[in-house]
Amino acid sequence: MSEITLAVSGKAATELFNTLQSTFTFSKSDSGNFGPFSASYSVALHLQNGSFTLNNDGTVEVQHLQVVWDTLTAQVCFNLPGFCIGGFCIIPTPFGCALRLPKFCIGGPICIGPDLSGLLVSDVVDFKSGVVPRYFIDPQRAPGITDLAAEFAGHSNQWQIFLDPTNVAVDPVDIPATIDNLIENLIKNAIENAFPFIPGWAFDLLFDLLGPLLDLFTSLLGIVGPINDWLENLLFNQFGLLTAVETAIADYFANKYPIWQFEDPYPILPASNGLIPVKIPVRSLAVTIDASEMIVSADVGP
Amino acid sequence: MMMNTQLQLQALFARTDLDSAGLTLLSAIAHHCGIAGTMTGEVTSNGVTVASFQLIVEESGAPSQADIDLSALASGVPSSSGSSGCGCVPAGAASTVFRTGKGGYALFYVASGPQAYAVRMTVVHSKSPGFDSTKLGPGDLFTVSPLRPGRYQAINSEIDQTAEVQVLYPDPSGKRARGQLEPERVRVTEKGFEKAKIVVRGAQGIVFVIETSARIQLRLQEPDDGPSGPRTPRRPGTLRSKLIEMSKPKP
Repeated sequence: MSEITLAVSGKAATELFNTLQSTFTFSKSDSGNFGPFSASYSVALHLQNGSFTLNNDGTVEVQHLQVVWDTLTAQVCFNLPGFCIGGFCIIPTPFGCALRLPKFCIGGPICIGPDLSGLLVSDVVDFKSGVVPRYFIDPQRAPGITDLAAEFAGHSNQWQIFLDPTNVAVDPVDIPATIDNLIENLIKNAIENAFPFIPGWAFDLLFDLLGPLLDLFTSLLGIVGPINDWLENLLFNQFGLLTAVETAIADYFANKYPIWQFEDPYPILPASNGLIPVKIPVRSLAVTIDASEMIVSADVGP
Repeated sequence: MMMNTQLQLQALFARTDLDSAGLTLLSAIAHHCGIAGTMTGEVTSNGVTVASFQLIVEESGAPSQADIDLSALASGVPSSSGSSGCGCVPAGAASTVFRTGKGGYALFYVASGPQAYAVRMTVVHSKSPGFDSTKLGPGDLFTVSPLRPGRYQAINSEIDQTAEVQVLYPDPSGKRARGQLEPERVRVTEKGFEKAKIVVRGAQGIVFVIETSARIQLRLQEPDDGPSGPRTPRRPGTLRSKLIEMSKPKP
């Protein structure tokens, strides 16, 4: 049996990878209840800046890859106590309060939606990977038809070469501490929207009663520590968003889109002058890598 | 924000005049229960009886407070059947019987709605005087929590005595947590109000300690609309739209 060898230069391999990373997209949304508050999020992202290197040890290396969070919106809803009346001691005694007025609050749920879309970038930890050839049988190919008929129908079988990353890790998103200002403005705006019917003096009284809005927010939601850390933890750990993104990237490279693919039988000569194209079946494909090129070798012939 | 909340708040802000003869969201009366026995009470609103209840003052029980939400009684859902003071609705205990120990207090308050209520209680099988919230007597306590900033006149219409009450304009910056403010306490005697001028912040309580026959009224004389002057309720909008509006070049 004859053999065929195809070589892809390092530069060409980089071009193939650039195409691969530029077509990656990911979007997800979810919601959950966390006791004193409920939350939801919506994200969409793409990849950029990745560089691709062939190594002498038979691996490829992806470096400087970044996740760009094109859409990153969250919504947090909680109950605002609103106007609280009473609760004070009517008859104080040295031993405590002998008579206390019941306290009741008139408020309701409000929601804030911090929008960090287009503001954040995460680094993907550099990773090494092998490459794996797989044979893809087009499920839409009609049974029993010839390879030529399948080609004309656009359903040729394919040899595909995938990256095989064993582990993809994305660095946690670093939400800046200045998110506090945004949160404070969002709460104030949400309160104003929640009570559009009350007079101006009542707003001033309400904000006086509520005190510092960030303190109120952290108290109501049971947030310990900085708000930016809490939001990072909520989105990326409690919702498992970081793991979902890592899995999506790894799955994309390993299973969804090959770095290179070609049809089987492999075209040698195109159709011309009324003659059908010349194609040869490819079997037992193997891929080897060194620092200068990626070499694909296979048996050819029936 | 739910419609019910909107109605509640509109009722809250519409209420600027307060009267011990008509309890509302912003006022309450504590009646001292010095004699053991059973009292029957009736709640009226605009002169119409809207609910009745029973208060049992136990000889051996520890003095405590019976929280009686008049709005809940009027709506048929009493908020408390005893003296826990929790203000919650005990499961399956839609009782109209309240208990306290001798020396305790019956605390009448209104937790919801725009209505004003009065209470009358009579002692069963006794010639002892009962209680009429339209005419307070020694030992009773009347509390108010005015919200609207401004200058008020406090009047004891039973003996025609007055005092001035000033509700300070709030700090709109909300930079400091004010916490729970202790109420101002004012004795009301036959000579008049203990203090000629009472200064409080919005929602801070005033406790009138009644030592004579009294009907206490607070009437808004001069509203204070703060440094920005009167403002109408705003229209809802989003922060994004506000930011876009702010970023537009000024002509």
